[in-house]
Parts: sequence; C-alpha cells; structure tokens
Amino acid sequence: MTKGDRSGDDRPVSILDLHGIPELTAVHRSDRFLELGACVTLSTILSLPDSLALDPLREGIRSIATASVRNLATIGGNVSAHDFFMTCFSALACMDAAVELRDTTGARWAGIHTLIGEDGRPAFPVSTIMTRIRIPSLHWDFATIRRLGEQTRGEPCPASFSAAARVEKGTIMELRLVAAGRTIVRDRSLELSLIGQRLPLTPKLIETAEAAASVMARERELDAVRADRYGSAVAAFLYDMQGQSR
Amino acid sequence: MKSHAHGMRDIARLSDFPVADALYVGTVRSASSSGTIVSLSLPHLPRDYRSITADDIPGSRTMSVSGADVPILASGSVEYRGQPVALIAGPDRSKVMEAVAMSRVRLEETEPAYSFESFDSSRLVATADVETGDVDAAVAQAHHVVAGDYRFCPQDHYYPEPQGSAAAFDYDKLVILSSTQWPFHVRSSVAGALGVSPDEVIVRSTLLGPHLDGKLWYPSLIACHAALAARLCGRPALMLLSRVEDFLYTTKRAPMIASYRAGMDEAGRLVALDARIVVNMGAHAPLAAEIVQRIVASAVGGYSCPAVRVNAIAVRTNLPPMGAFAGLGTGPVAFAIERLAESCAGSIDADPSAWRSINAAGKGDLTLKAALKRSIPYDLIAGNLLVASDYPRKRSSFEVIRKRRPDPSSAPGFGIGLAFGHQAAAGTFGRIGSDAPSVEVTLSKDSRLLIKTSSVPSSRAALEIWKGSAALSLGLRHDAVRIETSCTDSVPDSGPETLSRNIGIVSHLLEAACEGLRTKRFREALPITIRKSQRARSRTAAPESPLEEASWAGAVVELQLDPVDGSPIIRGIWMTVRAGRILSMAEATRTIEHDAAVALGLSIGEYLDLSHGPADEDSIRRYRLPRYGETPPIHVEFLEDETSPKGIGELAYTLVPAAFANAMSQALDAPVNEMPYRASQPQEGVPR
Amino acid sequence: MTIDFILNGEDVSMKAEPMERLSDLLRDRFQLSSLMSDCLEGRCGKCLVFLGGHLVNSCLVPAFRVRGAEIITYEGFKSTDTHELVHTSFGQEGVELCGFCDAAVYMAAGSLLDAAAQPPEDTIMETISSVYCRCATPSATLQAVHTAVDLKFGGKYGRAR
Repeated sequence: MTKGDRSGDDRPVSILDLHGIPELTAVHRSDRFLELGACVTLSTILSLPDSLALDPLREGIRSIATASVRNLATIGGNVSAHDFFMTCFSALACMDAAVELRDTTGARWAGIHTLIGEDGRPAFPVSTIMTRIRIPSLHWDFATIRRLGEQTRGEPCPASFSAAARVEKGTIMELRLVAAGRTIVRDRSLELSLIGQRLPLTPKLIETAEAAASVMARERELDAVRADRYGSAVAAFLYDMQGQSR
Repeated sequence: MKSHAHGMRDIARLSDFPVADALYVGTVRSASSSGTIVSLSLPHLPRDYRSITADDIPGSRTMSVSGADVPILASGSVEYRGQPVALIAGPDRSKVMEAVAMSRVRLEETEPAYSFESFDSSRLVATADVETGDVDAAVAQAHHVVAGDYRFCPQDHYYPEPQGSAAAFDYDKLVILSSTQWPFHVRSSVAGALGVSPDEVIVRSTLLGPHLDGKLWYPSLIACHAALAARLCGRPALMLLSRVEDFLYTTKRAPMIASYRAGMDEAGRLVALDARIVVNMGAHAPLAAEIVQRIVASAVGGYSCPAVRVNAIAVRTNLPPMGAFAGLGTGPVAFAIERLAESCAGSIDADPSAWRSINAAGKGDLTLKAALKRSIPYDLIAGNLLVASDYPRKRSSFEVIRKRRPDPSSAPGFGIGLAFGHQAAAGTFGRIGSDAPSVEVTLSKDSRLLIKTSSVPSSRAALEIWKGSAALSLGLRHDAVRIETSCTDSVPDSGPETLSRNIGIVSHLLEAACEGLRTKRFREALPITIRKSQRARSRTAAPESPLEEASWAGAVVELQLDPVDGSPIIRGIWMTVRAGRILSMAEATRTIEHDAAVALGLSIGEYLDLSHGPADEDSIRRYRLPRYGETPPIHVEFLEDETSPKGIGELAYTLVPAAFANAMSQALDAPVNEMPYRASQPQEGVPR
Repeated sequence: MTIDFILNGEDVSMKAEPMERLSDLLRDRFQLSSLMSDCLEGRCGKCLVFLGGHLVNSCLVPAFRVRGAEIITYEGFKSTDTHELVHTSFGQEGVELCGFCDAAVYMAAGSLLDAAAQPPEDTIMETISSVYCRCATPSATLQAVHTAVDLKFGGKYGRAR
C-alpha cells in the first residue's frame, strides 16, 4: 500500500500491491492438499517437485505464454479473468480445486465451480478478492490438457480442454472432462455414463461420448470448430486411457 | 547554421537516438480507407509543438517509387486507412501522442475496394505477359488437363525494429538516420520533399537486422516525415513507429491468387501451361511493375513446356501499400507451380519426383522465349535430396496409410512433400531512376584497402567474406581491409540491398574492382581508386532466360498430424542447394537453416486476413510467431560447382511453403492450396 | 509517486506514474538502451530484465511493482562472470545475432546459468523461447546456450571442468 504518494499532477495515489503480501505468495503443502497463494507465479508452480501430482495444471501452465511472462503471471490472475476462462481454470476445475474468497464479511472456501455463472460464463463475485487456491492431493492415473482450435498463443479468447481420470482394477472410478473458453463445458452426465465402465471401452461408446461432448459444447456456445475439437479431444483421451491411439 | 548532428555517426539503432534536444514526430492518420478530405482538425498545440500538413511541404508532395507516386502526406484524398495526413512534432512523446489521438480527419467517404479477385480496369496498375505457342490448342489436344487456384495471403515482415527515421542538420546539410535497404532512395526522396539538391542530404544507414525486404522503400517515407519536422522546426527529429503502427500501416507481403491450367501428354509431359496471376498491391502500388515481371519470370518454375501463357496483373486497392517480401513475388508463384506439379503427378498417379524429372527443362529448351544454355539440375539435386530425406520410401508408406484408412478422420495422417525451384539472378532491379550500381575501392600507400558501397551486408560473416576475398585477391592482410560504413556522402550508389544483389552484383563489382587494382598497383602511384559500375545489358544482346544464372534447390518437408486437432507436427526439413561456388560453407548452411525455420513459421501461423478490409489491433495478437521449440531438425546440403557464387537468400522462402503444402495435402488427403495453413480453416479431411 | 529501488547494484529513486511501463522508464529515465520497448505485450522479449532474480518482460511490469525490488538490466549483467561465459560460448559457436535481440538472448541464457543445478532440456528451450527474433538460427543459438550450460555445470556426464 502506498501512503502519501502523489501522481505527476499531484493527485493522491493509492495502490495496493498484492505482491507485497506474504500470505498471497505462500505455497503450503500437506498430505491432503496443496495450497497456493493467489499471487504465486506460474513459474513457481512449475518449479514445484515432480512428486506433487499437479497435472493437468502443470502441463497447462507450460502452454501459457513464455517462461519470462510466467515469471510474472500469477495463478490468481489466470483464474480470475473476467471475459473468458483461461487455461489454469479448466485444469483446476478438473482437479476439484477450491478457492478462498474474501470480502467484507470475511473469508470462505468455495469450490472453483462457484466462479462459474449459471450461463456458464465467468462470474467472479464483486467486491471480493481471491486469496488462496487449494488443490486436493489426489492422484490421477490419466490427465491431459490441450488448447482447442488454433494452437495460437495470444489468440483472443483461447479455449482449452482438460481431462483427468482415475482407474482401479480396469474400471473407471473417476472422470473429469472440461472445456473452457468463453464458457465452461462440463457434462457431468457424460462423465457419469462412463464412470463404472470397464476398460477397454468399445469404439462405439467412445464415438457416442465424442458426439455427446461436441453437442454439449455447441449448446454452450463454443464455436463449431472448437466444439468438434472438444469431442475429438474427449475421444483421444478415452483411447489414451486404454493405451490406444485413434 | 548550427550542427545538431553531433553523435549521429555512432548510433547503431534508431531507438538509441539521443532525445535530449530532439522532437518526437507522431502521425495523424486517416481512419477511413477511401474518400475526400473535408477537414482536418488538430488540437491547440502548446509552444514548441507544431503540426505539419501537405501544404507545409516545400518541395515535391509525392515521392517516386519505381514509377509510382506515393504521397508524403495526403492532400485532397486518402486511399487507405492509416494513410499519413499530418504530423505533429514536439519535445514530449506522450504529449505528441495525445495530440495525435485528439486529431480528427473528416472525409467524404467513398466505397473502398479491397478485393483483387474482381476489379475494373481503373484499378489495374501493371501487367506482364509472356506467350509462346498456342496454349488453347495445346490444352484442347492434351491427354490430361489439371487446373487449380492457389492463394498466398498477406504476411508481416516483423523485422526486429519497427520503421523509423531521425533527422538533424549538420550545418547546411541534413543528416538522416534510416534503417533502410536503399539509402540512396531515401536521399532522393528527402531531397525531393525538401526541394533541395541531393547533395544537401546525407543518409546514414543504421542497423537493419533481418528485414525480409520490408525496408526497401517505406523507410524513405518515414525519412521524409522526420526530415520535414527537422527542417520546419529547426531541431533534430525522431520518428519511430510503434510495433502496432508498423504492423497496421507499413507494407506487407502482397497477397496473390494464381489460377493455373496445365495440359499434359500421355506420358505426363507438359504440353501447355496457362497462368493468370493477380497480385494485390494495396494503395499507390509501388514496385508493381517489378513484381509482375518477376512473377512472369518465375511462373513456369524450372519446367519445360512448349506452349506457355502467363498473365500477371497488379491491382490497386484501398489497403495499405503492399510490397516486397523475400523475393518480390517469386515465393507465392513457386508455391503455385509446385502445388500444380504435385497435382499433375497425382492426376496420372505418377511419383512427384519422377514427374518433375521428366518435365525439368533441358539444354536448348525454350523457357520464357530464350533457349537454355544448361539443363536445369533437377536430377542432380533430387538424387541427393531424396536419399537424405528418404522421400521415396516414406512417401510410399504414407500413401499406403492414406489409401487404406476409411476416412481421414479415422487415423492420423502422415505426409512428405517435395518442392523444387530457383532463385533468379539479381540484376533486373535497382536501375530505375539512378546511376548504374557502383562499387569503389582504394588501395593506399600503406597497403590498406578501403571498400565503399551503399549496399553493405548486415551480416558480420558476409562482411568478413568480402574482406577475406578482397585481401586474398590483392595479397593483403585481412585486417588491412576496411568496409566504409554506408553513408551517402562517402560511398557510391550500389542500388538497393535486395534479391541477393550483394552476392549477385556487388560481389562481382568488388571482384572486378580488385582485379583492376591488381593490374594497376605496380604501374601507378598509390593511392589508386577504382570504381566499377554495372553496365546495362545491351539491347542487341540475345535474350537470356531468367533461369540461366539462377541458383537451384529442392526442399522436402515431413510431418504428421496431431490425432486430435489435425495440426501439423513437423518431423524434419531437408534442403539441397546448388548455387555455384560457396564462399563460406558454414555461413551458407546457417543461412539456409535460418531461412527454412522462418519459412516454416510463415507457412503455419503468420496469418493476416485483409480480405474484408485493413487489419485491426486484434490482428497483431492473432499473428502467431514461431518459437525455438517448434523448429524441427533442418538438414542442409550444398552441391558445389565452379560457377560464380549465386544468391541463396530466397530459396527457403520459395520452397519450404510449397513442400509443406504438398506434405499437408498428402496427410489430409485433401489439397492445401492456400498459405499460410490454418488448422481452423474448414478443410476436408480434418479429423472431427 | 516516488519509487526507490536497486538498479544494477545501485540505489536509485525515480518519480513515476504507478502504471508507467518499467521498460519505458529504464530506457527514458536511466538511458538503459540495451532493452527495447517494442511489442509492449510480452511477445518479443527484447525488454528482458532480472527482477528480484527472475527473468521478466519489463514491458509488463508497472512502475509501482519495482518499489524496493532489485533490477538488473543487460548493462549490469554485462560485468558478471555469467555474461562472460555466455559471450564466450556464443563466440565459440560463431553465433551472430542481429544487434536488436542480443541483450535479451544473453540475459535469457544467463538466467539458465544462474540456476542452482543444470537446467533440463525443456527449461533451456522454454527460457530461450522467451525471445522472439527473426535473426536467430535456432540450432546455432541453442547450441551456444548448451555450450554455456556445459561449461558452467560440467558437461554432459557431470564431470567438473
């Protein structure tokens, strides 16, 4: 916080520099979760030990900008964009992350899905700051993240696909399939239809899942190209899970 | 008069120009693409600030670029969005920019014309044609006919420093700092604008960096602006465009549409080739004549064909002026002819390399109205290239994959593509309106050699090659050779630095000058100065094929498609080059490798859509520049011979996009006839 | 506002608007011409500086952010042993840059050498990719960086030199 500073035309200046607040740049690990301050840089997250199960987040961060920009960009900034969901959001949505929100009434933890409006668009609460992000220390057997549509950095309104799955004794126990751009696309009924299925999934089942994903994406206003890519990405992930390629 | 030019000699980059006493110059631009200027409203400017309009120009209000008149500041009408209408100069950059933002150009707008696919004759600015034989009859009798339309979109040069210029008086002379390929054009343009003799203007070249021919003539316009500010305000002036301004308003690669029709006999030999190539030159259309001529000269590639009709047309539109890009039009044409070659081979189920081999022009073949003295070295180059890349085996394997999968979306695609082409000799450019390009060498009494040319290579390695070559020819120590910094008051006009003129023309002039010194040095007293100029080709001399002194190369690109989104993953690039004697193998290899990496980036991501009008600021964010991690392995091989060194600076830009497109076409099982390739572009065969 | 920070090892103070770009301030106020204020959105990397020991794009850093921080530009980096190592390696490999991106490329290479341990291949690639310039022959630049890394960390098989 600055006090007594004045701008060039002598107006008082008030800047709250969040980088100066230790709590916001702290990284805290426990057996159950990893907690990141909202101002933890993306490169700091990349430098965390590989033993921490951080995919698809880690892989997603690698696809963002360049190394030098990642030394400045923060996880909080990436998650709280107002116009569209950025890459880290889709990964964290897959990982069942929670966020700590603070306003005048105090602090509370909420699932990251609370930052999604009913229309599927970003809905960051007003007069609130996000202070921490908590990622459960859950092991995912399969995780992936990729951009949808053109592989273009700096593309206005990029979209990304994140997926994570847990398999036990050849059965899908948990599954997350998320696309995020201007809107979030997540079809829990599709996920549930695949949870409990034994691997290998039949090509017909995968094809059905691909089609359902694309339809859902179009309904959620993803453009046609990205919607189809989302479907393809879902199919590719399902094939990857059983050690096959398309 | 005072000197304000102190210290200008030591400035390497325009962005380092000392700003203590200087004025910043900002540009007030038209916000519309076409119309008559009704009014220009400028904000009230404080002391030490002033505006400059066309009415303030003391000399010519236009500058000449290869026969086209480019307004220095718009007067009466505007022809593209962003056209400079006025300048604002002042000591504080942010205040200048504020004043520019507050200025308004009101136009009585007229309907802009952006399209070059349909146009009326009033927009036709240059044409070039060649015709041999009876094409229509040959096509009618052909056993196979293949046709295709090929497009190349505009692209940005993205040189390392945006365009700019600085100007300051050094007593009675105006010194201009310019990052330019053509310093003498800057000089003549500035002198014209100020209404003074060219001797009163000195142009010093600053660092150019890799320019891809984007700094050929546009720096002269910027220099005129800086010069006007310096002259009218009596202080040094600096104009440096922002990256956004540069991207939006300076020259881009001229987009092109090439429509080809090829007739073949039963064996697949070309019997007829018919091409109509239209290029969008934007507003004012400078260099249109040069570009259409080079297009015609390249339109048949290295192939033999008895009946040829090529019609190249340059069209003016209300987009910012388009221009040269690594070869003045030859790259897009090579893309077209090499895609056509692939289609021709495909139509008769022939191997693409075998097709090229039977169609490569041989000794005595008429190419563009002149008989070749030597065969095109296709087999020699292909022999090495195909082995190095393993093209035949990979192509066969990928063809099996392509044919066996039920549909392209069901299995990832693999592709390997071949392209073959040339870089024409320099020598047809740069004679316009100026003396013959010249080089001057002086051998002093203490056995030191001074080389003077306005076309100094930007590469230190290339400079060392010149010095080494000169030192060797005269038996001097390497460190006894110096190359004068390019400054128009101390070096002769060697023409623009483009089209490998450095190796094709300036090197030869340098060699000839050193030869002259060798014969005179022991007969005449030192110091001795020799000046050599390029003579114009005699009008009575027999016409020579533009392919005669060309360098030749082949390129292979191998790729596979991402199984999810179909985007290309490049597995390797191979190039085999035959360009005469190689002065430095390390430098030449590095050049080709560098150019291939840049050319690949230009093929995949650097997309700029101007089909519906000029670019906006979102366009620069969408313009994807490649990064190190995306560069595949690039393998380069040279086949040397004892002919004189030839230029290689266009070869990769000409051939890599074509080879890439051929590989993508195989992988997608669908033709890729537009560059750059966009994964999101609706394409048949993209995995869904 | 008044902003005090450490610039190339010296305590400095400047008055600036809070949101002024660091790249512009370093060039205009301190005449540090090694960095270029070009794309202004973190794409080209020609404005790289070390901020608190981390390589960052100074065009993305607002003035208020540097209060109390330590900044090293190429002018400060040039006098370090790390720079010497990078310069030697680039010379050894015959890599010639264009004169516009040299400082940024050297700084990026230098940031790898200042790491505690030999950086993995993907880190080298990603760090050097922070600079975009048409001048670079990618394999040559990467080879020069690898040479520098080997010289610093002892080569491919970890033997000290």
